[in-house]
Amino acid sequence: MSDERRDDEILGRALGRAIETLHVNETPYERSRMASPAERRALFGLPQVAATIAVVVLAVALGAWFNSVREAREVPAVGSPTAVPGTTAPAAVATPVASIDPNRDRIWVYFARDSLPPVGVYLQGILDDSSSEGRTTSRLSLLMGLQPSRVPAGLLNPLGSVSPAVNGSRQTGLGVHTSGDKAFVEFDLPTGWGAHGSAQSLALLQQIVYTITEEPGINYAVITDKGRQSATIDQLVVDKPLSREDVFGYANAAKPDKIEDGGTAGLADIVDWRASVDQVAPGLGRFVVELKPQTATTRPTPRFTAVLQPSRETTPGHGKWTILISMPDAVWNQPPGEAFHCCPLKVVETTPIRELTAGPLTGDPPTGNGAYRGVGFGINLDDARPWRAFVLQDPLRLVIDVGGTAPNVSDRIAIYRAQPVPATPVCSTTCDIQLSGAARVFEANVVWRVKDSAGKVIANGHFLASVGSSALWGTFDTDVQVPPRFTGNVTLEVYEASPKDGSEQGLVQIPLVIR
Amino acid sequence: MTDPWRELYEREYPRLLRALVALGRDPAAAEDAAQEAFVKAHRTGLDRIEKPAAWLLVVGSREVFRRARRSRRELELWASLPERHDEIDTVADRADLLAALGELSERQRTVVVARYFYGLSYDEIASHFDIKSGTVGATLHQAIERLRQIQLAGRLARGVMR
Repeated sequence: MSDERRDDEILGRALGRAIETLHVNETPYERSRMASPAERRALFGLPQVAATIAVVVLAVALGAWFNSVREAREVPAVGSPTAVPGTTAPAAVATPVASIDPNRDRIWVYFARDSLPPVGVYLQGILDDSSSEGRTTSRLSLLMGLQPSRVPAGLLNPLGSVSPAVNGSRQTGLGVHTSGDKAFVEFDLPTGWGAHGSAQSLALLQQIVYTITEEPGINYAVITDKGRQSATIDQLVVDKPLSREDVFGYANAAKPDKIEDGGTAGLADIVDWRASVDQVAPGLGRFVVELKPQTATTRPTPRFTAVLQPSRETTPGHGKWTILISMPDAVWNQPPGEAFHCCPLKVVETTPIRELTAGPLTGDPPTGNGAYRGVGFGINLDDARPWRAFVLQDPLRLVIDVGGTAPNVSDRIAIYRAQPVPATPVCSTTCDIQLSGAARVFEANVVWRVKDSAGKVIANGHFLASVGSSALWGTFDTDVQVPPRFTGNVTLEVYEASPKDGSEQGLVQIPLVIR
Repeated sequence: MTDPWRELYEREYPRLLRALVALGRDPAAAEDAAQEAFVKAHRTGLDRIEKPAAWLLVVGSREVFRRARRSRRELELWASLPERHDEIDTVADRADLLAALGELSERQRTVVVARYFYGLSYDEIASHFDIKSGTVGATLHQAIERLRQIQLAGRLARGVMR
């Protein structure tokens, strides 16, 4: 043996011994995945169960601490809000309900909603996974041929009303090709689009644009009638490429690219991280990181930087945009016997939030006490609807809210709830409109007024949000008063009065009926 | 009657886990990958696996590297944030052999672990890891040479060279 080779052997063996002496937590056979009942079941024949097990393995791989992965839901809830629970559930992910191949046997498509952007849903169907065009055709064809009974409750399928030309092929009435970040879709619809009026036309357009741009890398839909350079949906002429943000209905939405705050809390342990959709307000996705500061301070705030950027995912299913949240002082403690697995994932799959991710900010192993200091979170989103960040106390939470009911959201005001209190004997002196939401305005001063159906101001005033003049939004939950014994249609207007000239900034107008 | 799977698990799992920890430097990912390798073996069937030990190492190492790639993608995302506040200096603390191993390419790491921890022959490495048999020796030598350089550099950085 040459000297060189011998030196290699010596070092190699030293390495082998180093590996041998590695301290590892071994899992006994009884608790191994191979010996688990789920895996045992998979042995008895059914090939399709293998995919299920793959889901289980993936889910378990995310670690028991992050085991709130939800199965994809076939039917979304408009009427029934959905939430992704936090960290309390045991490892229940080992009992999956789906037995379909998550990649090929289900198709993510969008349905329309009143006054809200479309909502995505997985439906059972066969995805032509051979190309971008094939996937887009599969998604549109599924919606165009969908039985009304398969449309989830509370949602609309305007594409189900179009009558395509039947040319004998599977791609009935559709021609799809992609180029760069655009997908060109030609519809062959001899009897028209089947939409009447601006609301139906917009709903159809939203559904088409969202469904076409589901494909990663495709940001614009170019929709044409067969043989034309444009499409005419009832009175709506579509003659330019459209992104989701062009049609989602947030009219006054100067989305922020970045929100950050230096924070006062210092090191804080992460207690939980979770998301909900449609719970706080329709169309609103909420992400929450719950924290426990290691040192008590008055009204602590966490240090964070949140950035909205286009998704870099190249496979379908992860959304178009990501809000990345960096929390350098957040501490990720590991329960005994558990380890912070890289990149845990929580599948949300309810528009606008597709999934949540988390990971250490550095690739370094935990410090001596088994904690990672510095944690990043990602919120994968269907679109870039306006978003905001604020801090809630008791317990300390960093909250990122995305969207809301489109007409109720501007770049500085977001009304989550505006509910007239029904006229009762109590209303003999004043009647209240309960109002809650968030605002980012000068000195936290939010201005409101109520106009009657003739446009006359019948009441006005102002109130303070919890925080003002800050990158963070403030919240409010207040009542505004209208004159006693007033009934009828009114418009509640909420805005910021410009500190320079008093002009209205970020006005939102909410029609209400006071009885 | 003994359960052949239990036997295989109890014989091979401890070694596999250590190998995967060494390869990926992430104990949790290594545990996942090890478990996954056994699940895959179970699904494949013992009668269809000629050399279970090497087979498990092949499957487990692929899994550990796949996860690491995903991890790197995530880290790159967060690294792209405009302001980072890294305060943990780790390079100086990693200057031992195992850390140096992590600096090698995936292929080099795999070959080194297969050779010096699993004791596989060049031919076995070539057939299991899909490497030309003539290049196993060269890959190993380059890997060890690099390991040596990294270890040396690390020691110098820590000032422990006498």
